[in-house]
Amino acid sequence: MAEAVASSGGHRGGVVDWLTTTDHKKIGVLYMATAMAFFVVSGVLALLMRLELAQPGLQVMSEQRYNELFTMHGTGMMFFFATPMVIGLANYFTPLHLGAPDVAFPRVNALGFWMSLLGALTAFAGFLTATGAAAFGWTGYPPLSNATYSPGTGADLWIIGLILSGTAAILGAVNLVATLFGLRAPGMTMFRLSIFNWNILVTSALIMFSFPALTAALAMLFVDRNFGGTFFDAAQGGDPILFQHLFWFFGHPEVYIVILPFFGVVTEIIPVFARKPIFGYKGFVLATLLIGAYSFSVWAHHMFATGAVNSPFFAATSMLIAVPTGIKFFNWIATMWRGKISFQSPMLFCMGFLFMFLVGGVTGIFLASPPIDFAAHDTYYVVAHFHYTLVGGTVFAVFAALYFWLPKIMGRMLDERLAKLHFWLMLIGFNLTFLVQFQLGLDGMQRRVANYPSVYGSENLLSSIGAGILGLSIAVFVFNFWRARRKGAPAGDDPWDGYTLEWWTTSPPPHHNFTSLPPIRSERPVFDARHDTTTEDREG
Amino acid sequence: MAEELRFFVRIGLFTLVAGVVYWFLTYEWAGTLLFGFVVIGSAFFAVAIGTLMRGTRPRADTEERQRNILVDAAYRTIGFAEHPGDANHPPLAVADEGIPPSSIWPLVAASAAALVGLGLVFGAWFWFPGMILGAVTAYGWVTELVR
Repeated sequence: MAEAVASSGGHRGGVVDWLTTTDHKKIGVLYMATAMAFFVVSGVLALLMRLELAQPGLQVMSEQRYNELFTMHGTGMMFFFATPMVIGLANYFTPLHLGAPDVAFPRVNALGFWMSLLGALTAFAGFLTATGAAAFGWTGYPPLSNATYSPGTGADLWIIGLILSGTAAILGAVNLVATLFGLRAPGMTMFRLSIFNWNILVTSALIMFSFPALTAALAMLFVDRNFGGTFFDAAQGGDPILFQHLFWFFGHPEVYIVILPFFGVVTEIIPVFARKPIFGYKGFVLATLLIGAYSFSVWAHHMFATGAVNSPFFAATSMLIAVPTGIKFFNWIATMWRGKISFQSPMLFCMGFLFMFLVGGVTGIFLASPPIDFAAHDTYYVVAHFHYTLVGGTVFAVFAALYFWLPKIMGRMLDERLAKLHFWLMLIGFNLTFLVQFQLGLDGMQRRVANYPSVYGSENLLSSIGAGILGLSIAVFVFNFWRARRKGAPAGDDPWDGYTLEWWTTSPPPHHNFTSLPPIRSERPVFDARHDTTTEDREG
Repeated sequence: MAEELRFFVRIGLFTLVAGVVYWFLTYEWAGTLLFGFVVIGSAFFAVAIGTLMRGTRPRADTEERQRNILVDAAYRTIGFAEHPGDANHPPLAVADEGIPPSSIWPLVAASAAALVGLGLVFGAWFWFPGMILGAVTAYGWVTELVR
């Protein structure tokens, strides 16, 4: 502790300072702030949808407006909340975990953020046009997304916005890989990287290999819409199924792009709050690599219902991907086994993540079976599965990360009672919203409809009440954050007795991150330095 | 083989095998080509990393390599062994050139890209200023780098 730097850099500065910064920490904060803003905006869109769905019939909006809302809700959550949040956390903590002063290409890093923000604003600008925002779902399938069925500039703005933000993600990924390979502190070998950084490495590779497929698909769609192209026009010899191949070759790795880093977050938090080393470090690495690899070979399970894909191949690979995920679950449980577990807010959210993601994963295995998928396709069962996977796998873990790392970023603690209130409201609200949707799906209720038969009324009302509670829980977090910024207790350099290098420096870290580093002999160098252990006596 | 290199070799090998299996099961072009692009992309990164790493670590002597080549080939390619020298000399380590000063050009470059994109939707009123801003950015960014 004594070797930690004394001076605090912080994240203060005027507007010009933020607009021109190349500091990875400030860019990380910008990414995270933007991501949270789009989380709130996209969440409000979801609340409006649930308001409409609370009763059968049309109450508060037209069907066209409802289509715009679910499209921009999905787009906002996937592209402008989850992905930027991943890159934001990686921006802030990857160099800190490596003992590096910054990322490999700081200016390119800043370029990536600004492109990401302008891309998001461009896509959402569709709401300001006369014809409204894009209204064909976040997947943008032609022919629904072509110029005949989706005329108007909102769809074009959606395409341009996604191309801009996709390009930004690729820039961010290349930067992170270069940082992980080129800027490690002395002693930080690949197998002493934090598991968070391993997950960021695999995620970056997924972005580098999958986002170009999306960019290509969107560029072709734009040409079809505006320049007389026929790539996806079956009447002119094109193939709409090609769009689905390209989209899902991006789209399924994208699910892991927004989940793998949070597997890493959870793997950093659980050992700290169980006061034990990670069980099976190399098992975690292997599982991460396998998930990354398999994620490239499962894309067409989203296309079973087209009848145009080889179902056995994709069913087999989709079921196989559960094996490395199971390895991770086993290792998380083994890490906690006989540990001195402390259920502070980061750990509580990790528990929420484990249980909610487990439900999402298990229901996904059912959907990997083509006969079940044929029956459940485009029903609320898929909506429920998807939200258990992504809210369970991402949003719970985002809040685990924020409660764990905001004290490092802000230098102030968040209120623990409010954090626990946030957790329980979120857990109850989330399950109330989405658990009933499994039943709605099994009963045959279609997704992406603003109106429905009255037989589904009571479950939908319950789901809408749950969504309200979920929204309230986020308001509790926002209040807690605002309160901590004003009068939170000072965090100190290491409020959790953490393991990795970010806890060696001040809160917030100074401009150059470190003035000195401890000897790096394992994946938890700060613990080693403070407790004088060696690698040999705690190899998992 | 360093882990940095093996990382991309593993991706390439996996997608190569998956792509071949996929082709013979489906005879479907789009998916096979997508697998192929990942193989080519990972090969590109592997070759680039291999080139950057040349000469950064001592090679095992010929006799030892001959003896181990069959026994250890798979482990060295897809296993988790690390070179003992990596702790002191990471194979791809770059010199710390310090943190660059603040720069307005990333924001201007992103604005130029957004304007060009909006120009594709709304016409020359957007893409023309975007192109000019892009040219100014290129000049400003490069000038800032060489200063």
